[in-house]
Amino acid sequence: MANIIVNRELCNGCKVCFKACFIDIIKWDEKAKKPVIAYPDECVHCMYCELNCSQRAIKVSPDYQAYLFPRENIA
Amino acid sequence: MDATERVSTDVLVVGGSIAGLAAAITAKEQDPSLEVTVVEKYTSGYSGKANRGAGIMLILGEHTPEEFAQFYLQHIGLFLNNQTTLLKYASMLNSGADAIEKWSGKIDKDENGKYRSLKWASKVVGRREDGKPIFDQNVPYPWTLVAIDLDYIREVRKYARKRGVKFIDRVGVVDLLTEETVDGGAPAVVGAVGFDIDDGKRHVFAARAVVLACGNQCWRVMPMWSCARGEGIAAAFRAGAKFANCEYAPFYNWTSLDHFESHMGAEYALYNHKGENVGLPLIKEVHPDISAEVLVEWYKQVKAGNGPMHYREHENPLMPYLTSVLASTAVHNRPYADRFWGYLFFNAFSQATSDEVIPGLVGEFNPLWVDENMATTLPGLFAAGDICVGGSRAWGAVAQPGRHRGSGIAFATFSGRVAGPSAASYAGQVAPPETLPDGQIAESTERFQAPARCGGSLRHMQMVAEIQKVMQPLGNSLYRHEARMKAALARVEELQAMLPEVRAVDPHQLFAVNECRAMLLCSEMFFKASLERKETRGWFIREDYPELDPEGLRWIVVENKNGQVAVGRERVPLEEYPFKP
Repeated sequence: MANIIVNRELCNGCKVCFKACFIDIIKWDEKAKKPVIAYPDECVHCMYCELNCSQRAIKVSPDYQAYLFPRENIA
Repeated sequence: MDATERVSTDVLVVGGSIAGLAAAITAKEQDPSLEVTVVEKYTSGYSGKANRGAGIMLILGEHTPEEFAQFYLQHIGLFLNNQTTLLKYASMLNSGADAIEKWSGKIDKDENGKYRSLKWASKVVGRREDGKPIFDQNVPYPWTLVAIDLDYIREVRKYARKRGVKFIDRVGVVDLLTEETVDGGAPAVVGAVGFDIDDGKRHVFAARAVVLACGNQCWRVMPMWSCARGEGIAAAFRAGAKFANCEYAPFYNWTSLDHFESHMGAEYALYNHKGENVGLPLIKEVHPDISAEVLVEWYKQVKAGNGPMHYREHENPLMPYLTSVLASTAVHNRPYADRFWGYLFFNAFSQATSDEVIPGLVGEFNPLWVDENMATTLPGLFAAGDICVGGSRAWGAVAQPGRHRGSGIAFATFSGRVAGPSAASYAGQVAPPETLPDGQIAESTERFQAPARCGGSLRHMQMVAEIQKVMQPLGNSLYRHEARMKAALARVEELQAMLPEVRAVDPHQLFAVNECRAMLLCSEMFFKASLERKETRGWFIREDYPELDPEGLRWIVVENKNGQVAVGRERVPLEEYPFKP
């Protein structure tokens, strides 16, 4: 699955990665004010969390081999 | 326990991407006294597909709506169009770009302050001294394209907020609420039921008018289209709305199993394993974009044992154009879009290990029926954006994006700007609902929450995988045959019967099960409508019916009859339209 890494030192709790996720992969821990990568297996690596993070505190490394796609049923 | 948030508003807009925002802003403009509320399952400003594409928007430029419509009818829509809506769309294209700019979206401009436009498939014929490309824009398409920076939806949301539009984020609408009308006709939409995607709290909305702008159905196959899971279509079906053009999906993009990035223009350089270019011979002189015929050829070659298929990118004549427009400053100044496309290209090109090319199902199932005012067949329910592209019948015999790239943002903006004022006018004429139907609210709640109590053994991603195995194959969904479609439909029905076994332990998973239900309903509508069209016409291709239906131009329509998918036909009223075949 996609590897989504959060640098908790750099993260300033602005919540933009949580807002930027368009399929609810990233949840928000209100207490810690940090993102929770709740569903990395469903990430489609749109990169919006990383693109929008002003602190460069989140990185997405896609894993296309594990991406859900009906490889045996294309034609 | 009543963990319910109750919200009353005049106009409820479901979906906060560009179509919904366009509808909300224009509804408020039409009647500032109305309360307009946008409800969005994720976060408006970031959600949706319209900021994860090329950011290219189609306008007419110097061409006339009539010129556009005539070209479109002849070469793309093949007269299976609602010409009234097609002409309205065409006549609002240029002003659509102006609207986005007025709403604070940044459209790239030249040194004279004019939109920097570039026609699709323009050829690079030279380089300036600074290395920037010189284009020959002498292409046969009566439209052009402008470029928007992809942070525009965030800016448009801010604009809407300043003008009094209210926002509720992280609440997904799962059903519409209706009440019987005094004349005994179609029930009127008076609200909606939704749930918070984080804490699961129920939200019940009372509204005078509702605009559905929550996207279409893409079955979660291709990455950037993954958010389009058809819950709005399913909600409209359950409420009793009408649909058309279910069979004019799906769109496929050329892609790679190495990275799932799009290979636009691969049909020019599509080779079988014997080294024969099998795409080029099928490309007609006027080739506005990827055609279904070349996709079918891919299927035939693979079935004949001539695969795997290869894409020789260096032979694709579109590449100089594409690489000038995306992740590049060669033509446009769009820093946010450049970074976005830079990420995508880096990921794709760093992972590519072969030149094998496949068609990946994009989907774009979009059949909610609307008239030229973006009114559905249910009083009080309007639609905008991807959910009703096919149902508007504006584009005719073609899958979205309608063989004219840049049309996604263009149609969303157009339909939003029509739906907003339509909904506002309607809302101004009806009283707010006095009571909401408790029975419907309870039924919707039960349906949504049941997977938390079912104790089943299936996980939602297992169900998604099974659905994709039915929808992706070209033999089921593109190059169609009665026997294959009946088998696919039987599998869809099996999966529908398995839905009660899919468990959910949190709101994310409750939504996922609701999405699976919507995916399967859309699949059922798709195959039933496809079986009804016994011909080959434009994007719709049947192996067993390769000719045009001698009965002529018909729309296949779908309605909800006692909860069942009922299919019918309607004649295209050509005599009412200005252009004839």
